[in-house]
Amino acid sequence: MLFNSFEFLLFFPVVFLLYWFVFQRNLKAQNAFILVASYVFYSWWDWRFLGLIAFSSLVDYICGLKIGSEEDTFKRKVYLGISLGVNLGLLGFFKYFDFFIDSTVQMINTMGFQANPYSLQLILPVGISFYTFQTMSYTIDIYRRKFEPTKDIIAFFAYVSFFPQLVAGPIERASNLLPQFFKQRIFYYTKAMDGMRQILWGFFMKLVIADNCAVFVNQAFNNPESQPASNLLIGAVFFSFQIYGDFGGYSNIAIGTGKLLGFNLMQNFAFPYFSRDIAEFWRRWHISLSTWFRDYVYIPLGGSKGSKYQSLRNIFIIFLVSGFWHGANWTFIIWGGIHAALFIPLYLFGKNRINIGIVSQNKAFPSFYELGQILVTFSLVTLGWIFFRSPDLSAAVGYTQGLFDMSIFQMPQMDIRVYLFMILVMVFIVLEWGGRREEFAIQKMAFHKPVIIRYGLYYGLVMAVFLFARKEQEFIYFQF
Amino acid sequence: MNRFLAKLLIFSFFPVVTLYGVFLLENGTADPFYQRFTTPKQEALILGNSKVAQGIIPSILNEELKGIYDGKLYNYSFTVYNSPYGPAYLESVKKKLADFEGKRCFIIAIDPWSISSDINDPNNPDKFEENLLFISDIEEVTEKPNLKYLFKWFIKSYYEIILMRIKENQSKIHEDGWYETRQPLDETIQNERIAFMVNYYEKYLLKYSFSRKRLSYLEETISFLKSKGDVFLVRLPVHNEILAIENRVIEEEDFNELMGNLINKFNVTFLNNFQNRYNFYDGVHLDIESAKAYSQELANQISNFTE
Repeated sequence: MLFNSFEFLLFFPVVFLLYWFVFQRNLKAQNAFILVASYVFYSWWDWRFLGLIAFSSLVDYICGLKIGSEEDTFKRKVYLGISLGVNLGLLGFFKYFDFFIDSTVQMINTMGFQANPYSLQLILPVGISFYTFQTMSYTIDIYRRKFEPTKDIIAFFAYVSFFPQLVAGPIERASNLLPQFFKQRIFYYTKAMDGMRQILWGFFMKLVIADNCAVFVNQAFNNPESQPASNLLIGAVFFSFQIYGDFGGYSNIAIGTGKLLGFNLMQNFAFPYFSRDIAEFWRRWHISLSTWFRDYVYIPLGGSKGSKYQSLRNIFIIFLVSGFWHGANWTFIIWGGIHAALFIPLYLFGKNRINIGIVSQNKAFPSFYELGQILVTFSLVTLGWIFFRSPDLSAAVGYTQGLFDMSIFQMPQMDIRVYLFMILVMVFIVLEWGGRREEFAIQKMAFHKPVIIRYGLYYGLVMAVFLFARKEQEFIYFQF
Repeated sequence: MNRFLAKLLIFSFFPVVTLYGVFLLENGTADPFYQRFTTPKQEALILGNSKVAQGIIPSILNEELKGIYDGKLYNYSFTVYNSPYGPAYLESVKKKLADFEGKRCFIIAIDPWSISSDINDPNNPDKFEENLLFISDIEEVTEKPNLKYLFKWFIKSYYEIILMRIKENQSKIHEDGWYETRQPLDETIQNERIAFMVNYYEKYLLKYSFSRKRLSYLEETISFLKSKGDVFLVRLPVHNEILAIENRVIEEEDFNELMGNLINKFNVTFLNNFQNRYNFYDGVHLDIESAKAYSQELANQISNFTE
C-alpha cells in the first residue's frame, strides 16, 4: 500500500480510530493490532512475501533469545552467524543474485570464453533492504550486550513490521523503537498535531516536488542525446530535488504517522542540501542508513582508529557498500565511489568535522562564503546523482559529457509547466531554509504569527498537494 | 483527542470546498473525455472512437438537419480502447440517452477496429479490454462534477484545470461533445506523424483479430437505437496507407460484406461514399477544417437521403 493512495486514505483513519478507541486499554492487544495492520499494509503489495518478513522476524527472535541466554562465546557467535546469514542470504538472493550472475557471465565473456546469460528474474520484495537491516541491528546489539532480548514475540514481530516505516525506513534500531512497544502509548494533542504537520510536509515533498520534477527528469534522462546541455542541467538539478522530495517525503510521512500512533521514529533527513561539504551531507542524508553502516560496518572494521591506510580503506568500503545497498547495479557502486572520492580529501586534511552545526544558526541568510560552500556541495551531489539515476554506466557518462557542451548557454526547451515547477522548487527551498533549525521544515513555522497566517500556510500546502498531485507514483526507495 | 479530531475536521472543510470549486471550473480543456460525463442526458448520439470524436461536429449536423430531426446530436465517442462496440459502451450509451418524444437520428461510426479485439479470446466479453477502463467504470454519466472520474480517471493534475483556463490551449471538448484539437499543420511534421501512426498501426494490427461478439454487440446497439430513431452507419475517411492497414484487421471476413449484412438485417443506411479529399493530422484524425467539411458533407448526405 502506498501512502499516496486512496487505500491508505481509508486504511489509516480506520487503524487510527481502532488503535486509540478500541485497543488503547490493553498494550498487548494494541501491539497485536499494529502487527495485523502492518501485515495488511504489506500484503496490499504482495501477500506472498509476508512469509519472508515473518520468517526473518522468527529467526531473529529465536537467535536474539539464544544469544542473550548463552554465555559460551562460540555459541553466541554461531547464533549471530545464523541471524546474519539468514538476513544477508535473503537480501543477497532476492536483490543481488541476478546481478552477480550477469556480472560473472560478462566477465567470462570478456576473457574470451563463452557463457550464456542466466537470470531468475526475481521480484524484489518491497522493503527487504530496510527490515533485514533493522532485524540485524537487533541481534548484533544483543550480541554486543547493549540490549536485552525480548520474550514478547508479538511486540518483536510488530517492531520488525511496523507499517509506517516497514517498506522504506527510517531503519530503526531496536534500542530506540522496541522499548516503545512495551510502554503504554498516550495520545498527546501536541504530538498528534506535530505528526499531522510532518505528514503534510511529507506529502508536499513527495506529491508536489518529487513527482512533478520526475516528469522533466524522465524526459532528460530517457533521451539525453537529443537535448541541449541546459535541459540536461535542469534535469540533473530536478533529479536532486526529486530524490530528496521522494525519500525525505516518505520519511516525513512515516515519522508523522508514527507520531499519530504515539511512537517516536528517528529523524532520517536533516536538510541535506544546505550542507557545506560532503561530510556534512552524509550526516544529514539518510541518517538511519549512514549511522547503521557507521555502527555495524565502519566501526567494527576499525573506523578511524588504525593507520591512515586502514582508515581510507574503511571509508572506501563503507561508501561502496552504501552504494551497493541501493541496488544491484554498477551505477550505484560508482555513485558510492564518487562520494568516497569527495569525502577522502576532507578526511585527509582533517576537515570532515568542521561543519557540524546548523548553517547560519543565528542569521536569516547565509554569508556569501556559506552560500558558495552550499552551492559547490549541491553541485557535487548532483553530479553523483547522475550516476544514481542513469540506467547504466555508459548512459551516466554520456549524460555527464552532454553537460559540458556549448548548448549549456542555450535557452532550455521547456514547457510552461516546467517554469511552474521551478517556482514550486523555489518555494520549497525557501520553506526548507526557514525551518532548517527544526526536525522538518514546517514544524514550528509561523508559530508566533496570527493563527490565520499559520493555518493559511497549511491551507496553501494542502491545496498544493491536491492540485499538483499526479496519479499514484511509487516511491523511488521502494525499489531498494 | 476530541479537540484534535474536531480541528482536523474543521480545517479539512476549507481545502475540500476549494477543490470542489476547482472541479467546477473544468470546461473541457484539461481532459479529453471528462466533459462527456458531466453533460445532461442527450437526445441523439454519435458513436465511435477518437476519429469520430474529432471528426464529426454535431453542431454542423444539427444546423443542417434541424428541419428534419428534432433531437440534437451529441458526440459520445471516445477512443479505440474505450469505445469499441461491446457491453460497456452499450451500457454507457443507454445511460446517456434521454427519453425523447420528437424525431431523432443516430450516427454509428464503424471501422474494423471497432469490431475487433486484442485479447487472446476475442469472443469473451468478460475479458474485453475496456472492462478495466473508464467507459465501464463510470456509472454516472451526467454528474457535474463527476467525482469518480476526477479521482480515478482524470489523467492530469488538477492544477491543469486552472492552467488550461488561463493558457491558450490546443484542445477542447465543446458542449456538443466534439473534441476540437489543434496541431501544427507543417507538412514535414505531418508526414512524420503519419509515418509514426503507420508504424504504430502495423504493430497494433498484429495483436488484433475480428470479434464476432463485438459484432453482435454492434447489432444490439443498432437495434437499441433503431427503436428510438433513424440510424446511419458511417465509416470515416482515413489516409490511404492507414486504410490499407485497417482493411487487413479483419482477415476472416469481408468487412464490406459484414456491413452489407447489417444494412439488410436492420434496414439502416451505410454512408460510405465520400471522396477521400480530406487532410489528417496523423493519417487517422481529421484536421479541424476537414472535420468541418466532412461533417457538412455527412449532414448533406443524411439530408438528401431523408428527402
